[in-house]
Amino acid sequence: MENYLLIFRGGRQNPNQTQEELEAHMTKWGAWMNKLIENNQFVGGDPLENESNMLYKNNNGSIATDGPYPEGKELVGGYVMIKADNREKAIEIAKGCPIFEDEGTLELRKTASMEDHHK
Amino acid sequence: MDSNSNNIANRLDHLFRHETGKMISVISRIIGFDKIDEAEDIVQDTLLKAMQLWSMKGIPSNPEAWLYTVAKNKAIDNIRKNKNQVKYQSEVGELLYSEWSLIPTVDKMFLENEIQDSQLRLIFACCDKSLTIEYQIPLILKLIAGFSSKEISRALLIGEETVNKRIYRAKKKLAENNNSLKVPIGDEATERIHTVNRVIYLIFNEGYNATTGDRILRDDLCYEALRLVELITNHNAFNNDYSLSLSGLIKCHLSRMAARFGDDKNLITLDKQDRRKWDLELMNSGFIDLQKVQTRITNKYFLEASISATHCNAKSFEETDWGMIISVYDSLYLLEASPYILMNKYIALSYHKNPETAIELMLTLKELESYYLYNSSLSQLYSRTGNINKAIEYIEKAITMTENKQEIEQLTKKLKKLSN
Repeated sequence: MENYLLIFRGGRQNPNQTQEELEAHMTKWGAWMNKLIENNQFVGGDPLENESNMLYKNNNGSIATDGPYPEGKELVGGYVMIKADNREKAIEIAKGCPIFEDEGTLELRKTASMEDHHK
Repeated sequence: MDSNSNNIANRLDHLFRHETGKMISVISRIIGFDKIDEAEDIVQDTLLKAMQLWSMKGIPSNPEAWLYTVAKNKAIDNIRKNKNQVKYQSEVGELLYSEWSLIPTVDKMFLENEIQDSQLRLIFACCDKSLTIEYQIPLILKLIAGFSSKEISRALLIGEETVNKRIYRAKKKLAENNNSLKVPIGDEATERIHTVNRVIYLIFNEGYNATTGDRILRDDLCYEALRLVELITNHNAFNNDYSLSLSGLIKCHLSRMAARFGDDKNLITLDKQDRRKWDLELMNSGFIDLQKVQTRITNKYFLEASISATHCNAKSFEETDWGMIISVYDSLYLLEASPYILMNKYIALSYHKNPETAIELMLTLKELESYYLYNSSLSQLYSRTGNINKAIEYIEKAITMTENKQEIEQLTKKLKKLSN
């Protein structure tokens, strides 16, 4: 079993959505998360608030905290850590994510073990 | 307090008592038994909020749901606040750290079937082998039956400070042992069920035999005991002859309870009870339980239940099968040679034969001479033989032997009647 990070980008709902749309959205995500939990694939993760601070080192050497801000479809909305036997299986799990119905994207990354860097 | 807020206070006491144990069970299962104090605090906060809001706005139409919703939210808030500082050792502990899984996990544990399961787990946890019975009983009464320390103190005839000390130490011991609210299996389960039965029996007796205090409170204890024993008997793996007998005992007693008290809140003796008030459905359910029991003669609960069932089977006081009752007392005496059993047997004998015979035998029970009930029973026996002087003598003795105000009141009433 290995840990894989699933990063959700974009797929933010229309701020003018109805209560019904919001509830449907929550139900979808809740159902998918529940499935991960029941299948013993869920390790952790959190949804993220929209407010984003972009930090970078500017010309005078100090650390600036004011942008450039990610665009809607680049904005990371949340992440989940799952566990799977291998990358292929992890990808299969990720394909079931509701982010795609929301017109967003998902990036899958495997956690690295530090030993790799000492070879 | 005006009658309306008094009414609300009574309803709340009843409701809170009923739900406290359930909520503590669920929340401690979510965050772990090692955090049982927090679970209790969350529940106490919930009840406090209910009291404050409901006394202003009235009791909501579904008060249980209201309580559970608030308790759930408080638990979630508590977890969010603490999750980075603590380690959750419960079965769902790992799922509490993520916002994706926190609410669904908590929601799931508050489902009806999970609530039942949680209570069983908590009962078993409290009956852990590492605790002696003096620690197990107060703990269960506090966490599961919703007793206050004061009430536990009265039930077990030990000081309130002792009660609090024992509960504190018991919790600490269980937390040390990393008690994870697992369900015991096999021999361990059988052993624990014995303790659980004993505690349930005690709870029931406190409610049934107490003649003092709030009537609603006392009834609640009886129904609480019924609820707890049904948790056991409804579970295939844990049901056994003792639990079934206890269930039968409680149901047979409870089925006749409505007839025990008059409109004036006074206790009505069995011979004068209106048997039309008996709950035949509950009674029948008790009989069904007892029919299933195979271990009988060595089963104290079954024997006591048979006495109650014998009364249940009598259409009138005069038709009571006293011979049967006497033989059951004989069987009980074989299990435990207690003078209290003899006293009850002799009283039954007074109806089976005559009060004179009973009086002769009662007078041999020297050990009970300072027991108020012994004296008041003798008074009644003498009264039935027409010996009013002796009846008065023994009632007066009885009054000096109890400090319980309500009992004194009732005995004094009897004295007045006799003196006229």
